[in-house]
Amino acid sequence: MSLRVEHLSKEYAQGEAKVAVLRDLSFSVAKGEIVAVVGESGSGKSTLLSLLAGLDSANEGQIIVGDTDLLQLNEKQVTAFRASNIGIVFQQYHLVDHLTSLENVMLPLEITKQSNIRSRAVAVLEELGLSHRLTHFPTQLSGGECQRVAIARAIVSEPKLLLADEPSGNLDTQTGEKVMSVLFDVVRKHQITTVLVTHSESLARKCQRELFLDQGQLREISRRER
Amino acid sequence: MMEDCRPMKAIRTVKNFYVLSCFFLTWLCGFLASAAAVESGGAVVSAARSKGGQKLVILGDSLTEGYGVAQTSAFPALIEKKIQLSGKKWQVINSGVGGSTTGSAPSRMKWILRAKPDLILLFLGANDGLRGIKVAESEKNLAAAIALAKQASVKLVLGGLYMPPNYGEDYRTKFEKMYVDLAKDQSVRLIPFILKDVAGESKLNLADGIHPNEEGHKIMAENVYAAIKDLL
Amino acid sequence: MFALRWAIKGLVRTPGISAFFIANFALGLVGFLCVEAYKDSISEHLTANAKQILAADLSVSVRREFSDSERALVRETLPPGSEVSEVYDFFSMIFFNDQSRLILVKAVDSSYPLYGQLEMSSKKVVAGGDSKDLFGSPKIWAYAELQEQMGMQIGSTLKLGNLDLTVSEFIEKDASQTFRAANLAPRVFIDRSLLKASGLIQVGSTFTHSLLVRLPAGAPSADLRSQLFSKLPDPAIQVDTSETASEDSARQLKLFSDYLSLVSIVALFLASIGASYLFRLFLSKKLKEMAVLRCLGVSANETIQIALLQTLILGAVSVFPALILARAFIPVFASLLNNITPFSINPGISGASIAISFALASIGSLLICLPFAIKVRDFSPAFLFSEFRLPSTVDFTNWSLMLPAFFFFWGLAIVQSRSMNVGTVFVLVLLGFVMMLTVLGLALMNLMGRWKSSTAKWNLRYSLKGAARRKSSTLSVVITLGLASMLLNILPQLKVSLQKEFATDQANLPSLFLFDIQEEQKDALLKTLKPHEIGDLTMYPLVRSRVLAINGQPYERVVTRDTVLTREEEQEARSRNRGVNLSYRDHLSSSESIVEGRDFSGAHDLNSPKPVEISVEVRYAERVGLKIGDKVDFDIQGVPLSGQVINLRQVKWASFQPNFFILLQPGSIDDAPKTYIAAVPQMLHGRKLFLQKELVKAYPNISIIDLARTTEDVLKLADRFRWSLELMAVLGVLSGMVVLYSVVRTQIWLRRRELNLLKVLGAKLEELTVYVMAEFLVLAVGSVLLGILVSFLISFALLRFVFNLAWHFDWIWPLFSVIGILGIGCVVIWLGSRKVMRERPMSILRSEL
Repeated sequence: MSLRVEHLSKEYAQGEAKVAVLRDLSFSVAKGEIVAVVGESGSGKSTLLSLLAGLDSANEGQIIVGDTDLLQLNEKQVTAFRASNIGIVFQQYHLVDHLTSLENVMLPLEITKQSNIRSRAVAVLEELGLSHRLTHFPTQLSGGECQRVAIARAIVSEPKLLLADEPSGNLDTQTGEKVMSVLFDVVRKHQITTVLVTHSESLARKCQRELFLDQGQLREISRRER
Repeated sequence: MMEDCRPMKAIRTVKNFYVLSCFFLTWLCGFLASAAAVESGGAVVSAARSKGGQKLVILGDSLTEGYGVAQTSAFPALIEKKIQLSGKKWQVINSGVGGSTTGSAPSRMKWILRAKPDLILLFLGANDGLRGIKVAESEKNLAAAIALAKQASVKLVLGGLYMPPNYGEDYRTKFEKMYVDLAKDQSVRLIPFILKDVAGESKLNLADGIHPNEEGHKIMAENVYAAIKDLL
Repeated sequence: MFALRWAIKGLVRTPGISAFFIANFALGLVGFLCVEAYKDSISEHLTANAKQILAADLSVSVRREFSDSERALVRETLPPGSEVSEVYDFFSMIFFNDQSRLILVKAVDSSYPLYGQLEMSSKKVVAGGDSKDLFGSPKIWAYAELQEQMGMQIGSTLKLGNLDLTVSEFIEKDASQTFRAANLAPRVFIDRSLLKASGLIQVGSTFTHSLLVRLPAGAPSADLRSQLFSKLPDPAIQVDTSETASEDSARQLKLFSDYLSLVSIVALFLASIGASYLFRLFLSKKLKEMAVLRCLGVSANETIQIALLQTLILGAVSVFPALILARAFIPVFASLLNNITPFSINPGISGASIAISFALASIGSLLICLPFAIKVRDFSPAFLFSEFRLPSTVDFTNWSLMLPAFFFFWGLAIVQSRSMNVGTVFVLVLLGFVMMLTVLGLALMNLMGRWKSSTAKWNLRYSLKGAARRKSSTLSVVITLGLASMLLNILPQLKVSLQKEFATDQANLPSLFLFDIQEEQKDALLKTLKPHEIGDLTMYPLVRSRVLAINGQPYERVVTRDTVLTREEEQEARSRNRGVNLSYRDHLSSSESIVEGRDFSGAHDLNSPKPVEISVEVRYAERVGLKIGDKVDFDIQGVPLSGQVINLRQVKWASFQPNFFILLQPGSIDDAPKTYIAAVPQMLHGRKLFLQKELVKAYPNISIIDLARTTEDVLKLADRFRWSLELMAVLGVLSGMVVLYSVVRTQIWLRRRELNLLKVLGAKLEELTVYVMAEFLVLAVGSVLLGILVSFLISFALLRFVFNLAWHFDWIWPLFSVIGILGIGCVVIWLGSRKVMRERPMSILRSEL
């Protein structure tokens, strides 16, 4: 499923004044493609990610995932759409502390009332090399393991689009690289369209394309520029 | 546990306001009279008979009862001691009922006469005065009681009382005159004022200013004894 | 210094967290402040009433004239600024139109009454400072019933002693009228300077001379009372403060004041529970910050200082919005309330309750947090390293660290209840209850953890699973909910039983008391009353007797000239030497109930050797020291009689039915000389007047007391008590609800991130709501039910052992509180979930919290 963003604009009201965070943004990501979005803090990366996840509304434009315009869906529809089509990985993992790895991964399947929940979750965790950690709680796991559980949770419902917010930001370089290579493997294997927000140049370089977000506008960084 | 709690002062004060029948009744009953049952009142009679000797019955109110002092410190008990010291064999029966008025006098007189007393002291009327009962009514009651004693040929001494000055000269005079008239009309001996030298003396009375204390009862005993000595 | 700066900075830089804690804690304090304000003003309101009866702060009185030296002694003992009014009270006769009537004269000066007021039939209201036409000319103010009874008018001239006095006002209402002597004789007021001319006060007169004192604000009347007692040598001099004026009466007031002190302590603990919940949470949120500081080289002690300073500041700051809110809320509430209650009060926040709020908010929260702060020191900052996780909650098991907080609350409880015992017992009971709740919490978690269902929806399963796994957080919720629901239920439970005690059966209230009815008048009297359709008139026999001995020990006290008695010993002796009035009845009246022991076994057989059965009023028994099984020897006008106490009886004196301290078994003293008392039921005013006249004519010896004023006042007061009880119970419940509200809100807030994550994962609003609610409901139902159960036990114990009242089960309040607590919880959860649904998850999920 491809992702196409057209003329996307987002403003926040700050008292009387309006602050434009995203201005007339257009780009597209092909199915299975992994794209990095880089940019300084405050450039609008998290706003873009929120919009792509259908967690916020835009002032103008379209976000077309496959052939659905997210911005045209109502609250309920977007929730349902996200639950079955979009996976999200956070910098701080955001695992539920009182649930085991397995339970954390089962959660999205439970919420969307799917079948074979347990076996699918176990399969994904195995795929991510965590078969020995199924009954551990997040507090008993290392950072890398937590993030792998988080990735497992994001892809267990077989999303068409994966959004990752600084996925290696909380990890040391080595672990980060390891976890990211696992992420890339899985994403490629399942042909999941991926948008990855990151500070890390090395991580960005591993993606197929890099988009540079600056003052609400996006420009493609050609590989030759480096 | 809450017992020792010093309740918020503020609230406690309100007690005042809420003086309930609890207290009310205590007060009320202070004034209450008691009448002698006419029928089957064998108890008093037999109690009196059992001791032997001659019998002196004092028919009275709280003054006779000895309100606030021990029974043994009230003037009837003191008089009994005096008589016995003088070597005579008399028994004094205290028939004082706190709060009683002359309204109870006739029926109580009937009751007492069954014990066949040899001398009766009729010391009623104080509560009539304090409650503002009409003098004529009190006089009628006392006259009826005296008549009963006379009928039974029992000697009787009437104890008079003065109303305190605050009741006004008019009422006081009428009240005092009532006893004098009764004594004259019925030809009975009168002790003009049984609280002579006691009333109005704060050292001889309880804090209420009305009832004599132990010392007051001693003086009353002296007075009364002196007035009836020759009849014993 | 560093600690302070950092503490402030830490708070200012996280305005969201700080504001949340301040807002929630302030809410709890608002509840406390409101309850306190109402409690204070109700007790003030009733104090004002008491002062009106005494018409003073302090009254020094004696049944004779004060000597000049005594008067001087009193004046020099009083603090400067005191106002003194001299009053003479005495019975006398007035004459008008050839009729005479017993009256009670009050000879007053122009500053009377120092408190309260007189309401005239001319609608004029006269208070202390007002100018009065009574003075300067021979006038008299008379109670309005004299107008009817003697046919006098304004301007009529009547005779009192040597005086000819003109009636200038009839008094409708007299705030200082007590039940004690008012109805036998109506009152009249005259100018004190006329006394001499009246000739009524001279040697031998029986009167009371009183120095009524209005003290400057804040002067302690109780201290002055004991000073005056020690300075004035004559034990006959009576010194009363408005508190002591009639100590021996009105246990209702004691009950009420006990209830109010309970209200105080409950309000305090409700606020404290909210505080301890919130502050513990606050510190656990700050653990990471403290660890960071440790890493940066801040010493362990400084981190503790920072942590404690932050709680201190946060607590103290919370008092201000609480005060502002309470100030704004109370007048609005009061004006609403004054429309429906039988009294109007203007509650204000007292200095004392502000001080307690501050103490609770600062020192209290500091001590609650102490174990946490110490934990902060012991906490290795190593958890900051990526391999470690920050624990979501902290357990602490070091009991010794909780001791300071325990002692602090113990102290506060004693201060609030003004009683060492009450405070201590209360704190211990709470401690015991916390343990019970802990056990309950563990049991619930065990159950929830084990519960497995393949059919239940994910949110239900995960919700319960989560609760079972977050042990310390779940426990603190169970404890908080349980404590709050227990506390807020105690007051309504007590209220119900107390109200039963205060309730008067209006329909059965008598309007006239007839006493001194002679045996031979009994039947005739009934005949006289019959045409007045009075129904069944019960005559209560009254037999005069003296108690000679209890269990063989002489009861009366012989006082001789040489015995030196203290004031109290003297009073004790006098009351023992008074006779007692006995009665007998074969069944208890509707205003009586047995609290201990058994009922009479039927009529007494005079020939049987068994002692006569005796029933004793429970308070009287306490005073005299009588217990069940005690032998009492009476002298009934010359006849000895022995009896044995078989039951203790509670009497609702407010019923105004004739009741007696001691009742004997029927058949025992039926033949003894006696009189009767009768209570004539309510009737129309005109008929009552007519009947009174008829009775006086036919039975001049029978004394009649018109209870109209008395019962009206009692009803009014009972009504006030009932409302006050109700009000304080409702306020207690409301402040408990506020605490619960803040707890539930905090729970949602704490789990904002978790909920947002679920939302991102596709959970719907209903699912989220159920997710939070399922857990809450299980915990709440468990802890609230236990709380209510324990509140039953506690209120039962309080009523039985403290108030000496029967416990009445009431299901409405518990039901209301269960529904209220659960309802509030559910609404808060639903609102919270909805708010979460509207939140921008990205910003929350990226934030540090």
